[in-house]
Amino acid sequence: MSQEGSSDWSEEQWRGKMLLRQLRLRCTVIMNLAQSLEDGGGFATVTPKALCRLIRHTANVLDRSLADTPHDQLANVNYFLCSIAQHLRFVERSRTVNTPWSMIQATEHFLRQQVGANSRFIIRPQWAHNYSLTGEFVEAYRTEIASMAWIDPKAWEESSAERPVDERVYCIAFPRVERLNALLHANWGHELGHIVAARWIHGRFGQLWNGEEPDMKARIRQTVEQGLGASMNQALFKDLIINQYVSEYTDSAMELARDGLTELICDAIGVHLLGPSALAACLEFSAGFSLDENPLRCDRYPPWRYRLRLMLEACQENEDFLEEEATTSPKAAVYPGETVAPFWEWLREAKRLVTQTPDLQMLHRDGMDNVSVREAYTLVENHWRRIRGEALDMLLGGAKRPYKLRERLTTIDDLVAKLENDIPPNEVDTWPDSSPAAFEDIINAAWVFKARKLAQDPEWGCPKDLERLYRLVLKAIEASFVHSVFGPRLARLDKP
Amino acid sequence: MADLLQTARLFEVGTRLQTAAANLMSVAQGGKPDSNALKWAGDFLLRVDWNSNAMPKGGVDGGLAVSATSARPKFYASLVRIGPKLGQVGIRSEEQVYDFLRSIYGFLQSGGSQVLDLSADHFKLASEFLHILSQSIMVDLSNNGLPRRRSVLALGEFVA
Amino acid sequence: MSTLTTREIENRLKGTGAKRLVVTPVLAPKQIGDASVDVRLGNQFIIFRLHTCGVFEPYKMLMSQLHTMQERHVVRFGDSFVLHPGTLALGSTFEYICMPADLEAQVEGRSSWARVGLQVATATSVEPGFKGVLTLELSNVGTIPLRLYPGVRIAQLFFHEAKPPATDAYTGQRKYECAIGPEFSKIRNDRDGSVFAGPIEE
Repeated sequence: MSQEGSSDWSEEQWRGKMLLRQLRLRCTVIMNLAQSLEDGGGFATVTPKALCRLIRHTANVLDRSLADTPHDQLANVNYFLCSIAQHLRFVERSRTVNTPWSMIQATEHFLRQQVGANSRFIIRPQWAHNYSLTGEFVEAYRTEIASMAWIDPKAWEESSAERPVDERVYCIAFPRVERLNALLHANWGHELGHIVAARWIHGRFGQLWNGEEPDMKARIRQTVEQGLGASMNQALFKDLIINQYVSEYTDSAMELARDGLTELICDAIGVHLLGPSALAACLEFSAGFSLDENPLRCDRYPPWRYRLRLMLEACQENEDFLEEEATTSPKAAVYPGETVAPFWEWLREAKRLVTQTPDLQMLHRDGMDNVSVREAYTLVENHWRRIRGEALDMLLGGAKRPYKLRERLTTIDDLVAKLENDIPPNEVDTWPDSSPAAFEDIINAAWVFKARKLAQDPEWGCPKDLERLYRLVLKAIEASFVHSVFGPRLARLDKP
Repeated sequence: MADLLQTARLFEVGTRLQTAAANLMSVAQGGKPDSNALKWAGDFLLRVDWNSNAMPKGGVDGGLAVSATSARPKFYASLVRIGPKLGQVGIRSEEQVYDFLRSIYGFLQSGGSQVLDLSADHFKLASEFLHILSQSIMVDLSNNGLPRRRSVLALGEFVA
Repeated sequence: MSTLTTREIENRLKGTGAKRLVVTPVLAPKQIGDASVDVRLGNQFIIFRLHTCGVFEPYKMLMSQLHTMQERHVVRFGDSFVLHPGTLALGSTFEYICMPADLEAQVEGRSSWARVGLQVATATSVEPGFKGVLTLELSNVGTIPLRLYPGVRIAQLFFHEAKPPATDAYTGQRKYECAIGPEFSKIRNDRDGSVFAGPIEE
């Protein structure tokens, strides 16, 4: 150790040496941890191991480049290492011993069909009562490595024989207490939407923002100058201070718009892929929360009422059931199918929620304290229809057509009939003409069944009733996945 | 969603600005800078500073526009922070601040070939400014190594 | 007691109404044999954590102790589960079964597996009205560890007419209902068993 007080002693150098020793150890520990987690196994899919390999490989590259790392960048390397170490928690918590849940393979299969076979998912429970998606890991690590001028990016891209860098890895978390609540898993559509939303945000939001920012900045400046009033007239560097306020509000408006659009795109994708069941899951999930909270108080999420309104509008476009008023009797004559009638009726009731507009009043309120919210949601509303169309266009070929419950009535009838008889709705029709039911049909059938039971008996829905329904739906999702993957392979064996 | 790419891009900004800061200090001490590092920083700062009145050579870049908006509040905060040191290099008015910055941007954009009226002290100050800006971005990302406080879970509240 | 043969099994599978037999999904037509239906191994297993208890006391153990002694595993389709000699694990059928009131079934292991030491079922009958996957008691009575893959054909179901049809077939009075994975023993719910689990002197 050098002595404090000597002429060539510097705070940066002294701390830098300490940090360098720590970083060497940290790299080794992370590589070993990642290896042992990978070797420990017990995962429902191969994706957790892929993330282990990515983290191990990245820590290895950083370790090998430590000698060349400038002292003033050691703190940045430290931050990066600590982040990737934290990502190992996604691996650890996805072990099946934490959640022996046979639906994970089926869920990953469904998700990959929507966004591409090179996308991989870690699906794991979390105690927080919400769904979330984290990612994309490979591209994030790539960007961070590329920013480090002392590291040759090829060292990261090319040196690994295992090629963890060729895939895209995401982690989806679901609330642990809702693990068995199969109907709520219509939220997978929303979570999947985050992948599409991220593509839109990283591909198109910047252009939109670039065009909108100058006018928005002027409006915000006007509001700030009005808000600060005469107090600024004598200030030194007045312009700089006003710029600081305006830049804070502009940045806040950008984050509100970006994060708000992200969630709205996700909701749109959810409805697109899973139809009214996505809306139903959102209605049920949001029942425990306030409808009209300011995004500034809720981590920049749009108000629930706002989201439900847009989801209902999307459903309405796809289904047109919400326009029909069942004023004649019997209602079955008006609705397209007797089986789904209670479900339609329940969703029509949800319309009453969104015809009230306290959320809009809150979002568009004037005042310096709300200027970023006001500007963000003006941007959102001015561009929403186009943005939604662009985002939906980013889905893969087969997923471009929206799910329309109205077009699936025969299938839904069949699956609901199975549920009525305590049979999992995993296949359509009966042996030998049966075929695996689609994930989206299973989920929608489950919601239709639930609405029917509640319409027949408002007391239905004790834990035992719901648990049985959830079990049947989970079994259906697993069985239909196996049927669709292995059925054709077995059929090929039997061909003459 | 925890969008890792968003935070990765902010990390990129912080790291590249720190590289530029180190290069400016090297110039102040008579060294030769990395021209690519300087050009990136110049291009980026032109997008951040509303008073720069110049179009970045990279043209319209949506991704950088977003990063620039994120960095901008810290840009102005960092300027306020070096305020006392501006006087030491003879900068005493807002107009002089902006002139100083424009000279620095010109130097950066040229990759270090266009010096204009910049002294070693000017380069040291610019280096310090970029270092403070970079650090404030990294502190924001890392919370300076401290656990982020979460809201107490109460009825109706989300845990982020 | 007559055993159903192929045609009758097929008729029951295609049927509707109260006489319908459900075995779902049947992945391959060849699962339906001359007088039986092959069933496949599911991907959930229960194994026993021997280090957590000294002896299984069905009528005196706490629920928490019962939970502690068993461990659930989910194996990916495509992966395997290894059953070592002398060990018991609970598995289940992949297929979900619904028995009509006038049929009962017997589960038997496939002889191919028996010849390498795998005993597939010890509690073999499936009652009229049963609904759910069948829990299979898997034990390796051979001398070599066995690698079992979820999805492979593991057992056969033989169906017999139940005369007269059961009147209260599985209407919520039974212990195991609409199960979708193996279920641990509920023997502690046998009220008459506890009568014998103690000294007879007053």
